[in-house]
Amino acid sequence: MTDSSGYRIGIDVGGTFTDVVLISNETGDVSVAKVLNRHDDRAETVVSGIERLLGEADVEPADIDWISHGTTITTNAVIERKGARTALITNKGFRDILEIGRFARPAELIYRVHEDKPTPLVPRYLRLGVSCRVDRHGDVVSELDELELAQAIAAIREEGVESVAVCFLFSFLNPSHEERVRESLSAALPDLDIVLSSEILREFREFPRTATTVFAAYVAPVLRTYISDLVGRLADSDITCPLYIFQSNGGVAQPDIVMRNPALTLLSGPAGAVVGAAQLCGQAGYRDLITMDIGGTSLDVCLIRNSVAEATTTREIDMFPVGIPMLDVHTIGAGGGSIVRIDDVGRVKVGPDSMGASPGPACYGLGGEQATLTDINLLMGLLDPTTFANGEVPLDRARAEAVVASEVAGPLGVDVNAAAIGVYAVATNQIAEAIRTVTVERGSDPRDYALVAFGGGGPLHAAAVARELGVGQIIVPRHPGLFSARGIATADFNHDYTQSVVRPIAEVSADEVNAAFTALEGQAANDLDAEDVPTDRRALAPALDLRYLGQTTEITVPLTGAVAVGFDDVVGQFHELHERLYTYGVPDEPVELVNVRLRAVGGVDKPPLRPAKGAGKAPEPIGQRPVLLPDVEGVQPVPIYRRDQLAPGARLGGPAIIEEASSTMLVLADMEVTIDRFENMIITLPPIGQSS
Amino acid sequence: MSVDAFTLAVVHSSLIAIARDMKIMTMRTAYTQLWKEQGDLSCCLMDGDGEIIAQDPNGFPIHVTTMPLQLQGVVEILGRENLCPGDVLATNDPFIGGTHLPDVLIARPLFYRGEIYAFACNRGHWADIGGMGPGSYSPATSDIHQEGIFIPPVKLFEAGKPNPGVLEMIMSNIRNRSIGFGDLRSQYASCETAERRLDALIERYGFDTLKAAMAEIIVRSEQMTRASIAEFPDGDYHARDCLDGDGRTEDKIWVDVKVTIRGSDIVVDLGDSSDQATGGMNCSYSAAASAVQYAIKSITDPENPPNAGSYKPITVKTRPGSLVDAQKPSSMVGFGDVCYRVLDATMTALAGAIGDRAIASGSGSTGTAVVAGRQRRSNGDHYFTTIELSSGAYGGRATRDGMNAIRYGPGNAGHIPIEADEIENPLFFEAYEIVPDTGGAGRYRGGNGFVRAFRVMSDRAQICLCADRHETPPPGLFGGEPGATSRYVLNPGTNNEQVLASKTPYIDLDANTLVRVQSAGGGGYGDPLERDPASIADDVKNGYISEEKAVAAYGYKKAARL
Repeated sequence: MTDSSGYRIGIDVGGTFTDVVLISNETGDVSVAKVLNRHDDRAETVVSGIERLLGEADVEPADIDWISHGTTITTNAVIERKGARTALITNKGFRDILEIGRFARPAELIYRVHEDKPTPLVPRYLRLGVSCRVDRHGDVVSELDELELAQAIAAIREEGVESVAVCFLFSFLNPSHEERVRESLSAALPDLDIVLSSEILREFREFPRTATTVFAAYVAPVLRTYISDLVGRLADSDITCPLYIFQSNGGVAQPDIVMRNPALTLLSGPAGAVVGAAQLCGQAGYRDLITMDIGGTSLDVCLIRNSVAEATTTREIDMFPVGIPMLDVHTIGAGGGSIVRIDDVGRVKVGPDSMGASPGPACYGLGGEQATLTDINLLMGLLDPTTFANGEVPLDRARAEAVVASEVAGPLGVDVNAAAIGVYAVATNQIAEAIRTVTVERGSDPRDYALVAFGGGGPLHAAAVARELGVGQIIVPRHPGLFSARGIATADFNHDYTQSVVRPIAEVSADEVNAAFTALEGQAANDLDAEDVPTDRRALAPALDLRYLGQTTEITVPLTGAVAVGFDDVVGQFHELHERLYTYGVPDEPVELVNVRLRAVGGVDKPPLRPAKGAGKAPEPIGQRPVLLPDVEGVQPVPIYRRDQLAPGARLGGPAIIEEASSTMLVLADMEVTIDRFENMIITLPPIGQSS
Repeated sequence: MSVDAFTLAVVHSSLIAIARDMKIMTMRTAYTQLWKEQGDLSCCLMDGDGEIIAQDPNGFPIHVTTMPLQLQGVVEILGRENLCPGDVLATNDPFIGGTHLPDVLIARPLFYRGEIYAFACNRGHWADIGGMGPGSYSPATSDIHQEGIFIPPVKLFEAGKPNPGVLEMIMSNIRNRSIGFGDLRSQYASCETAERRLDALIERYGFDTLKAAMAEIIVRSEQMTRASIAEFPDGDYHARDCLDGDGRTEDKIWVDVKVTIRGSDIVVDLGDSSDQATGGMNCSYSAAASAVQYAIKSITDPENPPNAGSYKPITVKTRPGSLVDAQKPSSMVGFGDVCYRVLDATMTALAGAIGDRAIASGSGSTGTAVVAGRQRRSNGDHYFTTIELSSGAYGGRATRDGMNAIRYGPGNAGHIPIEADEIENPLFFEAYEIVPDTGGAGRYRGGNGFVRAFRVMSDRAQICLCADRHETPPPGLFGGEPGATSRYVLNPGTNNEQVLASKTPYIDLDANTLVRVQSAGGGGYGDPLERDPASIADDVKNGYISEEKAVAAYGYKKAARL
């Protein structure tokens, strides 16, 4: 574990930049480096960032005792189809499960009859069937055909396959055939990556299990090569402390453990910021949060309850399911670069298409000729053209005005100001709908949460979104740009273990469930031992996935007490949760136990968060500029403040614009801003009903 | 009152989100495999006149576009003045505008200051509605009464209070009441949630704005569709296609489509189609119109969310008493397959006008195979019903091959995962994969169909088929070849082999019978000899086509292989 005199490093690889943070374990002081990605050499990017930081902070390599690394390398390999040459072994007669999927078309294709589903990661000639079969009780019905297996191995050798996914029906109940395949394959081809579905996802439903296993196999060689490359480069720079990998469940793990299931890193990109928000806001006393992260192309929202981000097992990449537990980050295509256009019959469309960073919004002056949300925000006066992105991207207001006039205002026959205000309202509604999806549709009331806004665009829209949702408080943390890297640096170890049962709970004995938990606890103990987590920092969270017998979607119910005494408590909680989520519970209906789940958390010491020393000086605006406010007619002079001039205890009322290096906060008229002792900006809305 | 473009965009996307969440909620809480795994239900918000405003993006066109006439019929029969807040209405009456009896429409009228301004609607395919056999899917039903319980427009709930007599009457006539109750609960709970969301929308934007936006949504979609139709050359176009039999006889029955395009209007006349079938291969006017509407929506405005406006430029004419406008007491069990034929023939007729936007016919059937019966369990005997959907492949398109093994057309039910099927039902699968060479050859070939083969382990099970494309293959387009026909066999390759007709009423199965259901393939698009040699080689390597077929259909030479 960490030494109080040492330092830890968090690494967050984004689309364009890699953020590296260095945190003192003793003081909690943070320094940061932003490095432009070198796409040909990711490890080099990371190491150069670390070296730069160490030099600037005058810290010796030997004083680094911890590195946590979030990476998008696996997600990108999937999206760009640049993973390993992968084969899939299935039961004979079932090789096309990956291609057929759910058989129904995804919603996007129902009317778009000229479009295709994304291509499977394994082409059909590398999907190989081998005769063998286990039934629904886990009993072997027919033995593995060794001759067919030998033929499959020969094909794998001949085709130069690098990685193999193995997924047999009911292997989550009896993995013996999958294990036998691995034994033969690794004997024949020792360098091959081999991934078994029974070790990736011990749950029923063959399509999500197959797809997840294929993802894991497809990215395994990519991730392994990268990690070993990085470890080598770090050693060259005399950095030999442990390296941990950040996963999409919001925790870190040792590379060996992640390599057992490399799919754990998929979609981990937005999770770092969620973990950072939960931690930093938690330390400041806010535990129930909705995170709202708006970047250049997308909006990510996530619900955090009592400092724990909500999890899900139903996320997808390219319409293929990734069935492992991940933070439930809901993403929609609404960001600064989202294109605003008017269709042939005068309907307003915002996103999901984006101009990205290059050529980007028209106001960047890099050749973008479509109106984007950033152009709208500039026209409203929310952005300062000279200080945007720290002054690195000067904005051209005339271009924004011309493009909004020709693409939006002209077709609608309104003036540019009306167009800007209107588009802002449409974007506000889209963001609010995304938040309703993670709250109202999952049985939560957004008014019970504080909204945490970050990313370049989050604070620009937060006030209007909060008002629409009836949220009472907005938090804009200090240095939101570092959230993700910081969250990764201080994330706990986190491992999830599952065993499918799929039987009515009345037919399952407490002994059987306890035995399942004992087995899962054994796996957890092995992993946490390997990570040197002290026993007193280990927390095991057992849970049961339950549903009414006959339903298909499970509700995960945490187990608070021992099950030795029976299931009455947990089943009672299930009925209540069902009512909260779906408006009704049916206490006299039989309940089915689908999965036994165990989450193992290894607590990591958190660097202290030191209250800032502050003078309670009354804040002075640095000036004012004309702004189109979403709720006021006409252009108003609005005072402008610099965030770094606002000390703890400072208070000011809206309307106001508060600028910092990476983002701009819009405060509306009836809202009040205070800076708390950790330098978080807290915006309080008037109680509902008193709003002007 | 008019609504500005921005408020319109905001209200429109919120209404779609409400409809989407209704379906998600129903699937999460449903009991039947058909909904929870296969998603065979659809949700929609309609205005006070019963016109579609917003549908769930995952909704099935055939479910949604048949709702308006059926809902309007319900309101007329019950009397608008007799509806009150908290009511839950239900019907499965196909003659006022529905599909078949298993599809039950649940609707909740939504009031504002005494006025019905909207309906929250949920149509789901119930796994059983009574009738001749479990799963209620016999194609040999000679009248609607054999199909199952006929639910005329009724109030399941009146002013928020359940109507126990009606509920009990329905549940007593279906085979698995606990599934029925669970599903019904999930249907009406979703309507209740929609009502709360709409109340919040009124609070935010005001009632007048909401109403104006609802009207405007329809107007804009109609304009969009008209602009697209106006690009097609005026003219008269014709095509016909057939079904293998009417459910009781093996005589071909024909769907005849005459399309007239004038300016921004399309008239589709199905009047010369065959007389209504003596068996279950019929559909209502509303269902036939729905298939036409789907075909035209997919070629005029595939990008935008559909609503009533998308269909206003389309007039569908039928002859009452024909198979596409069947009259009482005809059975409508096989409406889905009839609608596939209406879709295929409409698309083929339109091909002359729309060129590259046309696609060749897909596998052309719902491929419905119901396996049902009783199974012994530790706590007694249970009914089981599983509905296998053994059809799916796209026809070839102007720039792409047809997709393999996927649903096409106005329905979109999926498959039950094999593991879920085996856990719940006494089935044991031996194959589920793509069948090579079943897609028709073409410059862009038709998608290959697939096979599902399973043993039925119960000694008291039956099978029933209500499918098609068993004798007449899906035609190709612009010189493409037809796809392979479908095939349904019991115990293939044994002394007991039995090839089944695509319409097979319930027959008993011996324990351990192997059932093999194979879909048709899609038709090809364009001359096969114009196919890119690299695509042919790729298909051969991947086993999508055999080398023999490559040589025979495409003049493929092995030497040319990459």
